[in-house]
Amino acid sequence: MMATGQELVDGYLQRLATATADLPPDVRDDLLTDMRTHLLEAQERAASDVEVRAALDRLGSPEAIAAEARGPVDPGGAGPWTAPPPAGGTGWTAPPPAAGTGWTAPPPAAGTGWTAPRPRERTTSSLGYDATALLTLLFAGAVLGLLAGIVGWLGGWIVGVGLVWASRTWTGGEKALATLVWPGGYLLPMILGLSGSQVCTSGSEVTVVDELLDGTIETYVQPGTAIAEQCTGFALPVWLGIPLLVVLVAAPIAVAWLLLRRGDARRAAEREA
Amino acid sequence: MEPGGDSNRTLTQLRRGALPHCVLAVLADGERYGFELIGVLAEARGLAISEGTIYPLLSRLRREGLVETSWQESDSGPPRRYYRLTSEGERALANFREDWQGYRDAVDELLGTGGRG
Repeated sequence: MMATGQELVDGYLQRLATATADLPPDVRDDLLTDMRTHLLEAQERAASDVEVRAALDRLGSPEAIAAEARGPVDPGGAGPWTAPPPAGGTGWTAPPPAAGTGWTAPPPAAGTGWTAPRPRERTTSSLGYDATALLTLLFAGAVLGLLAGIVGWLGGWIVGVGLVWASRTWTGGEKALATLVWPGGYLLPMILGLSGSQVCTSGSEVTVVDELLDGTIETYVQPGTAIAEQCTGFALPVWLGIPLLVVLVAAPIAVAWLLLRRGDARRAAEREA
Repeated sequence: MEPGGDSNRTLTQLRRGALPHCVLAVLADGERYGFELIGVLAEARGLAISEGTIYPLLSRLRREGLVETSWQESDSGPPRRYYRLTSEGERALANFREDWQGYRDAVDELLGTGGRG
């Protein structure tokens, strides 16, 4: 038995959805909406399933439409949705430190399987990549530090720095800012707290992690004093230590937010170009 | 280029190259929704369009700022996405008209095909 017009249309749209699975979501959604609307119009006007079939024939194969959507055949216009080439050439590779933590470095933006016919050099990385890089920079060291001590903590932070520097979105100055405002994750508070004391180090680190995960600054007073108590040698006075630590917690987040916003603006500008 | 080879291929490339501006030209007469626009283009048989590829093309023209779109309800059937020229699109069309005439005249003269017009 022959398929009904509706079945033909559904099957066609299904094929198109499959054929365009590698396109950027906004481009793909746009195209699928257009085609669905077109076919609704066609069905409305068709007197029979045969006419629906003819309308589908005139549209051409879903694969050909997907190819057209991937970019014009003429050179120079692969379009703003060109997939970024894998982040190579930075000389940076990220073995996830402290195995067994369950955390793995996000792969460099490759492996989506989709490649533009003529990739044009673009100047930004995706929002997803940038957000991953910043979150890693902010939190990976803290999380890994909890699980694997100082090695995990340093390794996590280094991975974050690497991801940030591998992004195309930011300028060297902005990357330096992201790196320096959080030098070594909580290295600075540690150094300020006491040089070289492991007990003090892990103590401050854990409390800072708690602080970050809780997301509240007020609760810092207790852990803050706890740090001071754990450090047997020299300790900052509370009146100086607490404001300092609050700044140290807030500043990196502010920087990350700033970089994310700038990246957004740049991506928007690039889309319009 | 293989002049002795596939003239179909050449024609296909020419059609592809001119199609965006044909779309702009249709929209210069007033806004159209996709289905309607494709109907007009399909009537020009020499263009030999593959209807479905018009939508990716329209999407590109929109990203390039040459056309803009708006959804409008229709009396019968689903809402329609209307396309209309932007001022940038009008400029691009005017430029292409000029370029095309120069190109067409040159080719006609060399091929000896200019007599009919």
